[in-house]
Amino acid sequence: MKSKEIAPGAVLFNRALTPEHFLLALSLTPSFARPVPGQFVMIRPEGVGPQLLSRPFSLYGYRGRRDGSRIELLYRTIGAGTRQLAALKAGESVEILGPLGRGFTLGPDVDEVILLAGGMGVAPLTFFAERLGRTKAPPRVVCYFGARIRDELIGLDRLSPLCSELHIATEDGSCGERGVITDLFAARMRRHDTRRAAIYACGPNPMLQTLSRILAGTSLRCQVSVEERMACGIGACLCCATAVAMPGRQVSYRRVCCDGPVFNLRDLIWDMTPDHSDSRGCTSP
Amino acid sequence: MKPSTSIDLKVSIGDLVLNNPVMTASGTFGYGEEFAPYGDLNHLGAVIVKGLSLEPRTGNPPPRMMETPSGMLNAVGLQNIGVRAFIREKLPFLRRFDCAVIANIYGETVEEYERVAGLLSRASGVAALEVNISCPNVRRGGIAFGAEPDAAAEVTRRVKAAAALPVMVKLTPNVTDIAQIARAVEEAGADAISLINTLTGMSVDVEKRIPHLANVTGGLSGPAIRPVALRMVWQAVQAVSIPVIGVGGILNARDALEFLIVGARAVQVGTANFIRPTVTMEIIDGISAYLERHACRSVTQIIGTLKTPEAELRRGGGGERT
Repeated sequence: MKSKEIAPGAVLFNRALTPEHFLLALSLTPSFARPVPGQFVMIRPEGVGPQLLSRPFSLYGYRGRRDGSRIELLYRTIGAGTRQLAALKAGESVEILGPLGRGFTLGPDVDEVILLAGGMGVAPLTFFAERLGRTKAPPRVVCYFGARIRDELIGLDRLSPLCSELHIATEDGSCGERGVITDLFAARMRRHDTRRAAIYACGPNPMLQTLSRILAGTSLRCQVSVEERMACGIGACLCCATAVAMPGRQVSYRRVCCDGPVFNLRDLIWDMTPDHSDSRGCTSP
Repeated sequence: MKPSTSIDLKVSIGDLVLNNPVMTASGTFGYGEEFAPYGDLNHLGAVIVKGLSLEPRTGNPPPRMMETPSGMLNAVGLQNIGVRAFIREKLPFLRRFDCAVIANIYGETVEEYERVAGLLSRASGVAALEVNISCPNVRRGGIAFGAEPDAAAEVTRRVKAAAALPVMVKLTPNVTDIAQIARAVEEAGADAISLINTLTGMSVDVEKRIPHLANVTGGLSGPAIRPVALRMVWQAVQAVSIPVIGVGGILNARDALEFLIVGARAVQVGTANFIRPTVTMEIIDGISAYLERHACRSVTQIIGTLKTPEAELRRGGGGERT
């Protein structure tokens, strides 16, 4: 019956990119399945720490080998759980559950992939772009990447070689256009062929909500990776609810962890969704 | 340590015999299927499924959860697929396992409790009912029945009359006198009681000055509540003669043993399932290992063996028993 397990992981490094942004690399056993970009893991330091629950993070990188695999996670410290992770040192052990959830999918008729990354939302999109680059006929990748300030354009070095075009916006204008990334995208949206392009977005809920307004009158396809606090990550606790529209103006809640974290943007309802503008990044806060 | 197979972990809750005293608390184990990929459900004493209502319930808006010191607050609001969909879609899977399936039921009115109990009694594969009169996250029903002895007794009596299954009533800790409620439920015919459900709590984001939960308040679970749960279980054990099932913040075998020693016939593991999906199996093995170490052949040998000065006096000043 048993087909999944809690994988033991060892910290390879846990590098501070800024005082509050970290890149965590882990070595895992071969039993860790090859992830689809957009999927996530639940992670906690081994043993009983002050924080009990694992934290969900979408995958930023993966390399599978016969003798074990290596994954990378990108995160920001915004609460006790992420601060506990930030204290991990090379060689220390973690418990990992995953890969979990549904990742991004690519339609056969898509030859232009538009990535819309807000802050730490860059993590799953970078992983996605990297995977796309390894396909037989890679689609053109156009990326819009926004952050509050220049220093928070985390992972720009890894992202830029993966894109044919890269458009940057910062709220203070310290890099690229001044303003939010959705404005920059809206101004250039007409240049994309709605029949052949597909958008993939990840970022704070207000960004996704704005995007849903921008796309309302268009036929552009858009998959988004949604953030919500989780307890279990495997569909049992029902904590990570996100509202979706049902026939007859009814609302229903889906579990971000197993019905998502990737959803079609058009299926989501935003006016009942809270403002996670302090998201700790990646797929889930 | 591999526990010896000669140790008898069986416990009986009225007519219901469980393979071992470890159950999964309602709302923390989904409908069982979510955990099946991680461990063999056959090893569990019982699976208690997410609370079922007559009609499907949407649940509360997010955010529904916040981790707090040594615990978590939740306000899921009893989101569930409804009792009919459960019987049709979820029960067939659970029937394949050796463990008892206990259906947790919830209603906004006494009539709703009765109807859910009736439907589950006619479905095959349900071993017992757990009546939730203690959910703090819904406006109607739930805790409204559990905080008042007469109302608690009324729901118990009516469910008992409508059900052809053993009935366990899950009590709320958000009361002044747990013994009084426990007695009321026992007199109304409950076959067992389980306690505690979550303690109502709250948490605030001080930067934004907003509650961490959309529902503002939620139910606190996890090790933070364990000492409260243990005290209430101990009091309930002394107040009633029906079996008492201990719930609240159990993370490992030691925690489970605390409840058994104060007199719980069985335990439920809740929040810990979210931390490690295999935790219940580890707890069962840990109980076996403890019993072996204490030269006990059966788990029943440790149930209700708390040594307090009063207990020692009642025993006639007797010394060690094991």
